[in-house]
Amino acid sequence: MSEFQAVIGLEVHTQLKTRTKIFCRCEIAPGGEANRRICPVCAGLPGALPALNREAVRLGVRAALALGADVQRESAWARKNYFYPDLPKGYQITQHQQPLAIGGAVEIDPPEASARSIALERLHLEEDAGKLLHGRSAQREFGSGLSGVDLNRCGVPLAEIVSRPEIRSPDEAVLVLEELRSILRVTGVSHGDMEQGSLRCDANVSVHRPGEPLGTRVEIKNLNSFRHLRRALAYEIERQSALRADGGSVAHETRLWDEARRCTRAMRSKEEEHDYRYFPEPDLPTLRVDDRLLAEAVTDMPELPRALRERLVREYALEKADAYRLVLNRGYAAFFEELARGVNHPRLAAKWTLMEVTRLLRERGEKITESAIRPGMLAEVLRMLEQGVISTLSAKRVLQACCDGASPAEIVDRLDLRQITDPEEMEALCETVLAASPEEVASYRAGNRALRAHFIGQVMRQSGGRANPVLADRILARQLASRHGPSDGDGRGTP
Amino acid sequence: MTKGASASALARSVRHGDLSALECVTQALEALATPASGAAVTDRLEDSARQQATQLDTCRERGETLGPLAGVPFAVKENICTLDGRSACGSRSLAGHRSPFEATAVDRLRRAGAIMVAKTCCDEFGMGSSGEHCAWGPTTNPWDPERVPGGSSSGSAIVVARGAVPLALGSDTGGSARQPAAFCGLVGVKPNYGRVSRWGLVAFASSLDTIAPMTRTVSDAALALRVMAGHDPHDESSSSRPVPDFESSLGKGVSGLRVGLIREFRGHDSLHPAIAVAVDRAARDLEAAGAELREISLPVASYGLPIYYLLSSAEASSNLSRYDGVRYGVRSQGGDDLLGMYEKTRGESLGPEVKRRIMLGTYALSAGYYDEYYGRALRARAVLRSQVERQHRELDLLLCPTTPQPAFRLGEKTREPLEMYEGDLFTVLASLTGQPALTIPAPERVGGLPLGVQLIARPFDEMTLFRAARTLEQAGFRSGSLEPESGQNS
Ligand SMILES: [Zn+2]
Repeated sequence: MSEFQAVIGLEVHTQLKTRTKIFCRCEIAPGGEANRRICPVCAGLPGALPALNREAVRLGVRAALALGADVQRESAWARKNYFYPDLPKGYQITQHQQPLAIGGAVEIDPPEASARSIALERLHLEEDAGKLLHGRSAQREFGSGLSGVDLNRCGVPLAEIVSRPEIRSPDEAVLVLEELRSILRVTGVSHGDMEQGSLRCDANVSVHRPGEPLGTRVEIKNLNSFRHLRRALAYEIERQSALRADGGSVAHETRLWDEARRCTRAMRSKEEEHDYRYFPEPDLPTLRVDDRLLAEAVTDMPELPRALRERLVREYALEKADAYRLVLNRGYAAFFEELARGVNHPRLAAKWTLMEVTRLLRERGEKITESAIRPGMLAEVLRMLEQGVISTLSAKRVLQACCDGASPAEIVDRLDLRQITDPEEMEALCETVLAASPEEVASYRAGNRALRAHFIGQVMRQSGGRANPVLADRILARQLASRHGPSDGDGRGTP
Repeated sequence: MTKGASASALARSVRHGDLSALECVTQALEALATPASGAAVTDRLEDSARQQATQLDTCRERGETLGPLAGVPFAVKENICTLDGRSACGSRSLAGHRSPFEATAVDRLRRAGAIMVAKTCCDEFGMGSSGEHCAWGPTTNPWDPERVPGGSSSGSAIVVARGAVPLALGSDTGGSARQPAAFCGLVGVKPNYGRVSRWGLVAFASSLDTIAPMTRTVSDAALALRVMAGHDPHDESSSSRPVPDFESSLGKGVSGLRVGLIREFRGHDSLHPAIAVAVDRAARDLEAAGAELREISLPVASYGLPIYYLLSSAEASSNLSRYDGVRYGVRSQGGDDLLGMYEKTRGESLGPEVKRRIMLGTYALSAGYYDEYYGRALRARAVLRSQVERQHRELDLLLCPTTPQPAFRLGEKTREPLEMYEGDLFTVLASLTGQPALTIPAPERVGGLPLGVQLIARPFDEMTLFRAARTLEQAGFRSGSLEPESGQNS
């Protein structure tokens, strides 16, 4: 373990789920031909002016409220000036000194560690820039080998959420980002999709010896997935710690995560940082959040992840870890709750949701909200399992089979999966198994009790998974104990 | 026949069928084709204007109701975007630029029946007070070809002064419409900031920019402003205050109005004696018409220039970043990389005055200098505003000169930018406070050159401005007719 402690802060950009852009009425849609969804405003033509999309503000306020941030009744727009071809006006309209919301926190409550609250600095609104196209994508869009600019993304509304440097490890950073994403999704503020770019993350990280002042901060950009975030932070902490341990010092700079080489690379030093020359945006008045907007922002506010987790544990007696995993993806939690209403053992239902349903969805490449696997269907399967109609093994087969439309009961009948619960049939089955393994029987009777599991396995195999393992075990125990061989059963043990 | 006629008179004739819109427009187009006016025009819109006039005449024949500006030909400064004609802003960087959309002000004038016949030249992006900073070359004052027409709305001032059109749109950021109007003997109105939508006005200094009507009569200015004014969802800084019917109250006079004469301006060292006399005469005439006159002191007003030049240049440095050769306009060849392309393009396509302002503004916003320059100017602007506001508790109007001097000679101030800036001393006041201001030509000229007197009213009180201007107009504040064009070179 290193003598250095890491200090991490996140800067998250999330695309707000509006129909149109933040300062014009161009529609937002992913993909499509370059420069089709642009107008004089978002393309920065001379004479055009921004007009604020109120829906973007509503979603920003909603996110702020969900994060417990202090929504500012008055905030201001600013211009951030720099030259780049993807920035048509030569400045980005953003919020600088007076953000939409201040404070708030992301609370993480990992099953394997104690709960922590990571404070947030601020949440502000801004417009997205365009995209440069090079090489083959430029060739495709513009029919030339030159680089090109696609302005479709210009003016897409973003909320930037900045955390305080209170995160201590890469794992914790991932938890914070996951929790944040979960909040943004459940509130309907953002798709929160890192692959699609609707959730983007930069991090700043420093290391110091506990008790000493904080070290020099390095910013890392290009963290486009949870895996990149974890790897980049781990790499960077390692790099900085090694540098410091050797008596070196960390440079104040911006670094880029290079996934191919699995390392961070220096992008620009502090001296090369842009002077953004922020100043108040004269084209837009003070942004006022009135009571009506606040009321609209909290309308239908869903249960937030932390509250939901706590309720799942309380109401269904779930294990904390299962509740945590269910809530990470709101579709799972909803699926579980619907399922839990139809079964007697919610804990079992949670395990099934997390294990079997997850596995099947992955196999089928489906999302839980759009899958053929419905909670009602699984409830029926689990009820049959609870009632001993089918075994666990069979239950898995039934669930898999009913993805294609048939009802669980039909499948149980069609595949003859009904559990053997008839004592006579079971007696006979056990007898057959013991008769076929005289050596193991002898060994068992000589004291090798571990063989009991082997016999149960044999019974299950013989029955095609239909034997009730509890009943089988009981009968096997009696038959093995019987001095006179396996023939004199008494029929007890029917469930 | 129509040359020199007022907009309201023309519209009346067209509505009554005494004159066809096509005749009006044809005569305007002809007048604009003469060498002297031609130099002020960057695009003569022969085809679209005739077509619109013909359409309007057809409507009239069908008995449709025509708008208040029916058939009135007008010109538009080329830093205002229009669907017809080029909107190159007097800048090489936008040479040939055509806008895919139209300024709200122009759209509203057209809906009221006015017909755009020309785009006019200006100092590049509205930066300049002489017309000499136009990429297409300088223009000359209609009253004296040796002198500048003023700027930046130079072309609009020239075509109205020459009588080619009764109305032209200029823009006024720190005096860019009032000053050329004063130099050319016109009425020029800077409306209250936000009164007229800026949608389509190419930004120079967004917190100061206004679209300004330039006319020969007070009532034409009032009519044009009434048509253009009012909230526009495209411009969030446009005001949703109701727009009064300015023309109907024009004749109400000034009886009982309290007018403050700004001592620091009236007594300024740089003020030409003839202009001082003109201001005094305006004061006497208003008093004679029943206004109450007071001399007031507004020492903070002398800080107007540094405040204005810091703020406007800072905003300009940001507003002009988009002219980088990437998406539209001119791109220079031969830059080695991205930075090289930017430097070459901007280096070659922007003029020296624009570059000066960009550098000044960039500096004022830079880390470490922001507080000292931009931040301080912002605070000073707030002080200025509150002090003027205090004066208006008791005063309906402020009276002062429009410019310190009449039109200067071509080339006289191009090498001394600060001297050129000093000419804006009296106009930047209302720009910084946002309130409406108007210039009206004095009855006397000096050395043949017109002189302007300026009135400033309370926020959004253009009404009072027009009433006072009308009173002065009736007392003789109007410029005489220009000599026929043949007597002038071009
Ligand atoms: Zn757009």
